[in-house]
Amino acid sequence: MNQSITDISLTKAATQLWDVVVIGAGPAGAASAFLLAQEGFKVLIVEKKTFPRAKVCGCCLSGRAVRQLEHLGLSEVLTRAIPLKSFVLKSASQSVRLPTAGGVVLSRAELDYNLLQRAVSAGADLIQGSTAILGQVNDHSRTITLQSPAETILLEAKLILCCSGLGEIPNNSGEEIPVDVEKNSKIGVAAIVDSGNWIESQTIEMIVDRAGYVGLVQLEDGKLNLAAALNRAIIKQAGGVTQVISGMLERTGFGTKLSAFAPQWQGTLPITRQLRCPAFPRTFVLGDAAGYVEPFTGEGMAWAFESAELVQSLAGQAIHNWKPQFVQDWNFHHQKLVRRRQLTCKIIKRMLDTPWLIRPAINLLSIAPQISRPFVRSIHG
Amino acid sequence: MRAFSTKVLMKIIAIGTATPKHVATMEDRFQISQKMYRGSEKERRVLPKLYEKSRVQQRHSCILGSSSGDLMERQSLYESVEEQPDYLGPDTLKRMQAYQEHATPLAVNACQQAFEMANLNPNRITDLVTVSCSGFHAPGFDLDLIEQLPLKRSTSRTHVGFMGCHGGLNGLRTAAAYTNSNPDSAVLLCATELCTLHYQYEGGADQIVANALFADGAMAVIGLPDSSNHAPQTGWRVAASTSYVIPDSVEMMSWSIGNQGFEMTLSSALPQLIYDHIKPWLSQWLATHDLSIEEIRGWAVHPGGPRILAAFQEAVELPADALRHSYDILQNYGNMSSATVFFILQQMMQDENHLPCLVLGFGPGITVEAALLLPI
Repeated sequence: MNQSITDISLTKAATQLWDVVVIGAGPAGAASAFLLAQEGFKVLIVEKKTFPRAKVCGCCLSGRAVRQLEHLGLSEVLTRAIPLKSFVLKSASQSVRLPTAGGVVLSRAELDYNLLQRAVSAGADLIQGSTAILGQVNDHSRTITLQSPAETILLEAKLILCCSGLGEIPNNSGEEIPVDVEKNSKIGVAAIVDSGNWIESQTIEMIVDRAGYVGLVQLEDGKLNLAAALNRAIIKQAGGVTQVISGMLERTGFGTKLSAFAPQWQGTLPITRQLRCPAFPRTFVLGDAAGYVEPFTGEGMAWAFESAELVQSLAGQAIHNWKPQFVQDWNFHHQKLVRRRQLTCKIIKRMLDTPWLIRPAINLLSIAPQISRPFVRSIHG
Repeated sequence: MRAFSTKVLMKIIAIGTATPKHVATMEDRFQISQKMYRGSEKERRVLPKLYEKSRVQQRHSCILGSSSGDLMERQSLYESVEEQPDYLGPDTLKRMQAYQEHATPLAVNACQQAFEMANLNPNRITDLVTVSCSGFHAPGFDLDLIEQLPLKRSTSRTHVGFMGCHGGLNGLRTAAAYTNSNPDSAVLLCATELCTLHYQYEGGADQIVANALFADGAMAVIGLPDSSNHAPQTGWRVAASTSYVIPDSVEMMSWSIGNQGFEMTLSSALPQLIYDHIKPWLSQWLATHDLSIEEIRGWAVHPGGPRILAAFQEAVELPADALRHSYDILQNYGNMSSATVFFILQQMMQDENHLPCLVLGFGPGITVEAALLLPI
């Protein structure tokens, strides 16, 4: 699986009219590029980082995400993934273990590299280490400025897929891209630490308390992945992320001192945010770039792969004969596909945001685990 | 309407135009940068942008067999540098063979259109003036016009050769001289240019711009003397013409015959030069015909490129839309050298009154040629 992937030259990139330029080689970008390259479109992926690169969020894939990958013909990217068997929800002294099926864990370094490699073997071209900025719309294409360390060049594409992940979309077109960020939104932090043996393998441990929630899972290489969504005020109070998460771990009975591993936290912007409209002329936005609601244990991945399939169904027309109507079309279909599911997550998130609800909820789940099924399915089924 | 005192040198009875059937489009610039240019990596990367800046959306070309698809399969004159990195393009012989093959049908089409519009029998023509700077052979397409239209075997011929983009105006002056000196004359003026035969594979940013602008086209004008009572299909007449050689500008533009086609050089300082010199000269000349720049209602300025048009508009302080016909022909036909201004005139004649009209062209020298057109 680990065949190398090579970039094309800047000259080759600038001397083509691309059918599609995909900004961002994460799961949404790579899967879309794979599907479109397979259909014979001329696809260029532009990625800011150089792969393989470590990424600490999203190493869990829900059963739905796994099935969607299989459906897209990409199941082999999960060869080294580890199946997840249970989901343990903890709060202070309480804990409930819920069985889960179908989900897997795989480091983002491995998953994303594998997906990108499949996209490139399907015929997509790639430029890494460069930033892409949306430019003007012309009669038959849209301009993209590509800033590589060596030089800035202009590219042109008939369709742009913006899969740049959580955060601002680099934009030089003069069009406004309104974003709604939820007030009091938590921030996301995550880290990978060396030893994962303080939790069971094939298990997601999720600790919830007033500071937020933290999920722990052992990766395929034995390392421990921690990902948390935390209240910003509490981080300030406690004097740092390590302090907050150490406290959460200690209160739920973890004996190991987190600070001993000196975790290197990667943070995100306030994470509950949404583009008012995930499409602009000749541009569709998908994946986390379109909108993000603190997803749980693998949902974000399922959305990414499902929007890739949606792109596949609309791209042909959008490339050959762009019409302004496609902006509304994408917004409508994307809404139908992703936002309704984000709503489920939003409801669960509300519950987790409301500390006095957590305890009775966990109690209820431990007394009557059968009622957990819809809950677990909605987040991990 | 005010009366114009200047005499009638020639009545323009009709204008006809013709282009080859197929076009190179804006989209083709990517294949050109990939397969038909040998410059530096950097030049190849900016080539698509320079083509876009040329504003030429489509250009007709005699060598194309279709308007879409792979450029290497749509024509057979030019080959891809991808397979032959040392390839410099076809030699001049090959290009002139293509000229010989394609010039005549285009010239005939333009002339036939003019004759139809003029409602005049070709055998009335006494003098034929042909213009071209993009190819030579003898007997040339002038003889083919005599054979195929057909014209009388006694038709006098004059060929205005290699004068550049303003050659059509030199031709118009020649034609007007015939009608002005002989009340029984009837003149056919035909300019035919196949500029896309002179595509260059190297030469830097200036050459890329030239490659992006040039196109193929032909035009025909039928002119009669003032005394003729044949009903003109246009209300336009040639009243005067003039020339001006801009001092110290010899290096600014050249057109010469090379081993791989005809080669153009064009200084990026040309727009500035036009800006500096044009207005005083133009005002003085118009004054000799009791006219001022403000009174000119139609501007048919040769679209050598968008920067030349912009410099001209600024220099003469024209309103924003004064050169709209020039821009429109540039966008939809490109620079067809000496034939271009007549495409502009033909378009102007279709809508509201653009008279008095000034026609202007620029060529190696730097020379400026101008004609003043007035209502009959």
